[in-house]
Amino acid sequence: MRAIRCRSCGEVQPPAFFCRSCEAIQALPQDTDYFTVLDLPAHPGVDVAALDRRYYELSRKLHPDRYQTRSADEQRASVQATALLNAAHKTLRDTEARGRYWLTRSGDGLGHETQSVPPRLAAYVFDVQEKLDELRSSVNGSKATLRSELVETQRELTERLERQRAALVDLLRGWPADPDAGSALVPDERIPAALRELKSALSELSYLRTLDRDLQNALEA
Amino acid sequence: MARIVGIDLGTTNSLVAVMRDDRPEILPDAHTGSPLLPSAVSLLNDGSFLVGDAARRRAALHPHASILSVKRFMGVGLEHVDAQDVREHTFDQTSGALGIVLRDDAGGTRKVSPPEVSSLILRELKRRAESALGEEVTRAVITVPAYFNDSQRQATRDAGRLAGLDVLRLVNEPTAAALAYGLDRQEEALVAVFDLGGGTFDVSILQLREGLSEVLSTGGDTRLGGDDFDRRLMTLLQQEADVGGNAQWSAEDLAILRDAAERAKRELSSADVATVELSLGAGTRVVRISREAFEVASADLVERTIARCRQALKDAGKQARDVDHVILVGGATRIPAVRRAVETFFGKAPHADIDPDAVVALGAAVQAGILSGASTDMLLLDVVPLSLGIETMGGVFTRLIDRNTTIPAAAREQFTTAVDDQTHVEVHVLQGERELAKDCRSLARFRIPIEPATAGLPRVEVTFLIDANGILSVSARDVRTNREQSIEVKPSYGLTEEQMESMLEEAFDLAEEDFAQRQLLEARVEAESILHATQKAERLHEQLLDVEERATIDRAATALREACSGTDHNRIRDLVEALNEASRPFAQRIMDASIKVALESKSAYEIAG
Repeated sequence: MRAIRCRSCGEVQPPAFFCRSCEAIQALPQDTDYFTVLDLPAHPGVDVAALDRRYYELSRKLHPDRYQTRSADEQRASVQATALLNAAHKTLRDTEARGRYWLTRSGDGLGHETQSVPPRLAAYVFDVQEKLDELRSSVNGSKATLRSELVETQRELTERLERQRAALVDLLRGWPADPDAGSALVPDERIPAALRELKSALSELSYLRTLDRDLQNALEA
Repeated sequence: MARIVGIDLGTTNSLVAVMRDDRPEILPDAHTGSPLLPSAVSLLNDGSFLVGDAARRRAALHPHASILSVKRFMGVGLEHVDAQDVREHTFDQTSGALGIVLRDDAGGTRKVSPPEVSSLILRELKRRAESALGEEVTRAVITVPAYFNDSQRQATRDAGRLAGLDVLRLVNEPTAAALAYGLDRQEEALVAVFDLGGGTFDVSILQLREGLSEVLSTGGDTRLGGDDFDRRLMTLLQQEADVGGNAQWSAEDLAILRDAAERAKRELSSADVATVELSLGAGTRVVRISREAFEVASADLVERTIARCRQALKDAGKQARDVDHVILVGGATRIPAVRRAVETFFGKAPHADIDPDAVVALGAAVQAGILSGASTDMLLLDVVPLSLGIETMGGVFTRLIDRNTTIPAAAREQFTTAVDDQTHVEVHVLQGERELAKDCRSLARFRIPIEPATAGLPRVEVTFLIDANGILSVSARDVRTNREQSIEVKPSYGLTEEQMESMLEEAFDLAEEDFAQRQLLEARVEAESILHATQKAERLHEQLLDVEERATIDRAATALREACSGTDHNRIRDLVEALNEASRPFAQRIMDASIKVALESKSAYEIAG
């Protein structure tokens, strides 16, 4: 956690939107940790209701509308602070975005893995792609049958997406507590496995969504 | 502390409102009491401008010197102006920003930019507010359509600046309407705002949640409004008035029919039948139009608004039954058939207790109250209407900030060089939802200066910041030296800072800057129209006029003409009244004759039928 220097009284302190001694509004760097921004425990299993409450509470204090009668400097700080708050809220509110953020924050990323077929999905994807190709090259006679098969495939896919999303929520909720937080009960070695699982889950979701879009386009064509 | 006013800068009409005793209130014109200021501007021969009602009346006789809906041209390029506007106005884009060329009667021309024209309207509203409040007004909240992009918002803010107003906030019109109804206080609600103005139709689907207003979708038609309903009525009036079936309508006849159609439309909002008198070239006619006939003739227009509502809901991923509140905005929503259709489509009665012409301005005043610190329980969180991004390799549009992101919002992007010793990097900023840069709306271009070095070594981080008004600013920082870099942004359609400065210096002469001067100009406009009408009547109805009466009328007309070259507006008004008086018996005879014709033709028709 990088310390900041208050833009009003100069005191050096941990990052927060209001100076701990003079209470002046602070424009935190845009790369400030999102959990710090929302003053939430650094854990990927976020309670969305609590997140929203915190967001509205901070919005009321930071929003530029509250600084219209203040100095130009404070107004600028308010715009930057609110932009950061909005970005943090948007990212942490969405499960997948939060998962990706957590991955990056843990020094990892999805990289180009989203481009190739995730191994656990290979057979399934192959099957759906084949049906899509068949539909594209089919003659009118067999088209209707294929279409109804694909409609069924899409229904299955939608269910699968929902299951995977629910699994991601569970994964994040049950994330091993941060060892930095001083919990000696959780052994470090659980983290790498969890990160690998998170990575697979995210790339699978991303791949399934693309597949779903392809199906939708094929059915609409 | 000086008050902040709320302004609805509309396509057809504009209004100003302020918070008084915790309630928003429209500030009407001090002399006429009218809450609406027509968004019309007209260039006079002396190079000054008329604004408002007088300008709108003047536009009928001097179309090339006048602009009636400048909002259509705010922050756009010539390529976005539609064909009908190109026919009606002369545009000039040689200096980069779009200009409109106005021609006065003396053959003089004057090029004006849309923000300048809008600033004249804003100055009039500012003056109106100042005379009502008895204090100087320098700060305002102005409403804009939810779909306005960065350039259009910037142009609106520039107009405010040119008018001497510090625009504290631009608020989306549908959001302002929801604020006026206090709907933002609801825990959670889905709101449809149905805005049928004079010339434009907008529908917006809003999600309100604890003071957060999110625009889920917008739709509409920039060429559909109350004027179209007037035109349908006009056609009906023509059919009814054209007894012989082969009338040739002069330009003046058409102007009279247009006015009559508007009156009939208002009448039909409360009555089943409207009766209008038409003093046409061929004689005066009295025509009756039933509401039913009007509704049949305009059914397709109503259906078009509903089709747009259907699309907006689809875009928002919602069903009509999900909508909790429907708000009516715009004078044309007074048309009973429109209300009925809205109610049927959404399955619930729309909110209509607040005057639909005033509701947006009232909401702007509520937001002004929030900004002044008067109300702290409310907070409006708006979203950016269109995705913002930059052009990358191969003309691809790369999004940096997605549409519907809550504002203020920021995005960072690192840039580097592709060849050795490159001295700058060009960045092209766009807004839109398409894949290719060429399909999105260009906002601005800027270049980042780079210290010559090996390709790929320099790193410049650019921060794109969208403020609470939805307006973009850009800053750059050299990552290696951590030095802030200044970059000059060249707007694609708006005015550059230099152009703004020079406009501020040579701020336009507003004709009515001083009240007496303005009264004089308005009196002259009125005199001009009555002199014109008198002359026409004399020509057309010569047989109804005896020599002596004609001489009396002509004397009055000559006196009025002479007074017009003077500067005494009271004298002009008196002589206008005198001319009216002198020609009254003549006007009465014209009317009687036409009623007789109408009755005769009616009975002939009935016998035949």
